[in-house]
Amino acid sequence: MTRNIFLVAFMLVVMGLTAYGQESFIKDRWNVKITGAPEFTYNNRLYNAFFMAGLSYGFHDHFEAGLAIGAKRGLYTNLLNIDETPPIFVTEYHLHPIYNIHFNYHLLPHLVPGENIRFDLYITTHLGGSYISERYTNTPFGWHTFLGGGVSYYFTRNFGINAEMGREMGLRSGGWNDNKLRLGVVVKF
Amino acid sequence: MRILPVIIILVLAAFTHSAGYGQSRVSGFVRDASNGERLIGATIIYQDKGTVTDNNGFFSITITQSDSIAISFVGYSSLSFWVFGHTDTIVDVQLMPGIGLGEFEVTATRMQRSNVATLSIAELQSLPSLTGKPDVMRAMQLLPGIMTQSEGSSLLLVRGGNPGENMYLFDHVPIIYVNHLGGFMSVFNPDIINSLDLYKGAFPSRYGGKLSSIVNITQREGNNSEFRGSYHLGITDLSLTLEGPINPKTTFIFTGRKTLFDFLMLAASSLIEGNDARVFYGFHDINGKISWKPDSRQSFHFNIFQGDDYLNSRSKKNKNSPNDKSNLTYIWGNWMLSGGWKYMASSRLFTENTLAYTRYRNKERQRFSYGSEAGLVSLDSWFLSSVDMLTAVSAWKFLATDSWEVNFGLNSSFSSLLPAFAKHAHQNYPIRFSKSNTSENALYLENNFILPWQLELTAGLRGVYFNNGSFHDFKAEPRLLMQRSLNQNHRVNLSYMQVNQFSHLLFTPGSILSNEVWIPAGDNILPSKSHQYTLGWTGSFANGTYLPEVNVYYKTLTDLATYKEGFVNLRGDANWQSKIESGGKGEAWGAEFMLRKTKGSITGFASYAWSRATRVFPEINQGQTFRFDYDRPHSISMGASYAFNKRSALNLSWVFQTGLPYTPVIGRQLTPSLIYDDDGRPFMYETFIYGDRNSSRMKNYHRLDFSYSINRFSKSNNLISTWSFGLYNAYNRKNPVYYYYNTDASGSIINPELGNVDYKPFALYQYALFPIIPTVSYKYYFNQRDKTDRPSFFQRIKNLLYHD
Repeated sequence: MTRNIFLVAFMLVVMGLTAYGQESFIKDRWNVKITGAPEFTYNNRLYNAFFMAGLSYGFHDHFEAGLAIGAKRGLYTNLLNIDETPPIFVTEYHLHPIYNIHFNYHLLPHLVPGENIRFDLYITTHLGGSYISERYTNTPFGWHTFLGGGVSYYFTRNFGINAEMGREMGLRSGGWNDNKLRLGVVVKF
Repeated sequence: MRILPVIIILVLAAFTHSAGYGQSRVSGFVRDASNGERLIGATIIYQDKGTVTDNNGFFSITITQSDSIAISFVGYSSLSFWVFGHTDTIVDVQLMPGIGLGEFEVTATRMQRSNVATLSIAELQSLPSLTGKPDVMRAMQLLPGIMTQSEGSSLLLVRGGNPGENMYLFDHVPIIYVNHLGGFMSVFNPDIINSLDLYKGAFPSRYGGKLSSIVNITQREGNNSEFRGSYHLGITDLSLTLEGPINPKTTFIFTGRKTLFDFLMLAASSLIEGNDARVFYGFHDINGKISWKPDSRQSFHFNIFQGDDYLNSRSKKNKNSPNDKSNLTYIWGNWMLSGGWKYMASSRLFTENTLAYTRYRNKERQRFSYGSEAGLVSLDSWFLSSVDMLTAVSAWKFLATDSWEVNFGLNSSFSSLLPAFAKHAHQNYPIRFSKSNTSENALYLENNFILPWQLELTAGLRGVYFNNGSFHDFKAEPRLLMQRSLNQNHRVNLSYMQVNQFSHLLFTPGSILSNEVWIPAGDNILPSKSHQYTLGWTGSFANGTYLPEVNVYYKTLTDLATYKEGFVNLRGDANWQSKIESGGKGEAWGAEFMLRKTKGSITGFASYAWSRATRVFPEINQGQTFRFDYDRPHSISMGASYAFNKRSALNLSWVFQTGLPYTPVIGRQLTPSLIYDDDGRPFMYETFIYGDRNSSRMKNYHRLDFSYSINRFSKSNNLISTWSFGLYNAYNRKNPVYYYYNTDASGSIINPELGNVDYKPFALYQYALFPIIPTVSYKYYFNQRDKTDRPSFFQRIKNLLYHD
């Protein structure tokens, strides 16, 4: 997996270098995204849901970086009574903070000159974390990475919709490894 | 056949008579200038005389001196032109949509025709409906004298008649089965309808063959100037309309509808665990029409219609018993092909000729297979009931003088009826019933005289010869309609008509499946006949704003046929005649009141009908007279439409009808069964003692519907789209469809023969169908945006990808 990530990163750098000098509409752009997604269990009960608000800045013709914070509502096992005999497992919904730093590599400036294009197509990677109450975990601070792609469509020059899809991997040994889809609205200025 | 020479002499006399007059005529067609569509009911005014265009958009008026003729139609700018009095003139008038654009406004008072109710597509569209789009049958149910069978049914019951006594003509061609979803909707797609005429009495001599009503639906013609179209998405179906010119003289129009819920049913029944079969139900219909006008005098039309309902059930694979399979298929509906030629031979003579083929069929196929010790066992069976009909119509209109109009013609139909055919593959012989090949040939002559003293007399005679194998019958059907104008706005009328019906409909009420079987008249099941007398008044107040109408009628029916008591279909018995009760008689009488408001921001109508209907059959109800199954003494309908502005309108309708009759239980008794207990005593079970047939009534039916429509227009005033939001049964009235006796409301029956169950007494329950239902539909019209503002296809793609 690590080898593949390096391979993709290498290709992105090569593509970025070949496009050097073309007109770009990423650099110096501020971008605000509000995204979220529900997740459903097999019996259609809402299981997890989260939303994030992120701010990113284009520091290069193809790259932007930013921060995002938000909250997640998840179903977790309450550990308070788990040591009873017999153990008692109680699952509860818990709302906790999540955050990340992210880097986006934008592809369209390679292909389309000018900034009139309504689409935005990019590859994104996150380093994210969360804080979960000790009631539900022995390691409250968790970390994960995310690698995926995103697309935005702007109805106006400033406002549009956004979707990101990719794979989220827990950094702890034995952590989760899930496909994720997040949808939202985006404002650029 | 002695009538034929008389008819010929009368026709010749009409021609001869006309030759002696020196007046000249202006004749022709009135059309919509934007699309070439015929305008039916347009008003033509010459000096102090007037006439209206007929179902072909045709008119003819006598002129005595050079003067102007003014032509007007609601929603169109009026037009006037100069005519010369010394020669016959043929014109093709085109009116522009819009108001106030003409040279002047013609303020002709709209006078109602006394024997026909006419609904335009605009009136249809102003009525709320359950499916979010108008339905012609449901619209007609709001007219006085027309009853509904039950909640959700669009069947017509006209002046005490049954559902099989209505003739449905689609551009003058009979359609046999007119329902989708067991009567929930009709097969007539409103997108192809121009207008409809409903005759409840005083049928023109041109029409016959059904006892209670004639419903003549005129189809639109395709747009002759540009390609147009629309799609309509409602809660039941998706509908598509395409129309346009093929060349400067030829147009086409095509409409199609398809249900969407059958796919959902298939998916749901496939995914749900514990369900052994995939089940889906749906319907579709398609209409096509090509019109060719080689010149202004004649036109040719080719129509096709096909519509089916279908219910399918397919068993799922069973791993434990892979050989077990079942396939059930039910299909019913009809299709029609027709060709027509309309020709204006002169300014006085117009003819319309049609040749058509119609087929109705009601088909079932059941296939079962299962594994047994003897190997794979398969059971395969078919059931079919059908009607094939070839129809030829030649109708002529001769305008002899300004005060004498002659209608004459020929109407022939050759039918092949197969009431019931059944075949079981595992049996050596099929239960096969021979087809009945019948012919029904009618000649008619009708004279319409305008007499002194403001009297107008329409006298007609229709001679019908019917043949079914060895059974022959000739019937003469006199028709008479007298109208006297009291003044320019008020008219009274008196009519008599006699009609015969040579086939009988066996109808199974309450069944959503194929529920109609047609049987021919013959030696044992005679043709049914009706006599109807009507007296009426039509008026007009406030310059045509208010149009009141009152009618009283008395109708007798003889030689009616129905199922014998206890039967609901003809299956399983080769001798289907043994299940038929014939020789029935009926009476119907009543009074109908209606008031329309046709102008202003609020338009609408209110109607009330008092009506009674009875039946008597030799072997039903011990030969005693009983209430007709659909007898509803009181009915009220109200509809109103308020236009907030050009873009939005609110429509509502309210109906009230006395409850349907039903046969009550008046006592109970214990009846010994064939199962015995351990002591050798028979189990006893409870059975009912019924009272007289239809001697009780269900509770009254009433319902309020709303709809709110929002239109979107282009800058040049073309309608682009319509959203329609509605509420069906707005106050959630639980109207009864039928009553039933049971041990509880769940529908499960406690069988005491099974033992170990507590006794539960039977009680009377009602079954209600539709609660309050919100509806929404969307209709989009293609090619209606302004061309000047409209970007090209590539520009639109570019706009999708880039900002300006």
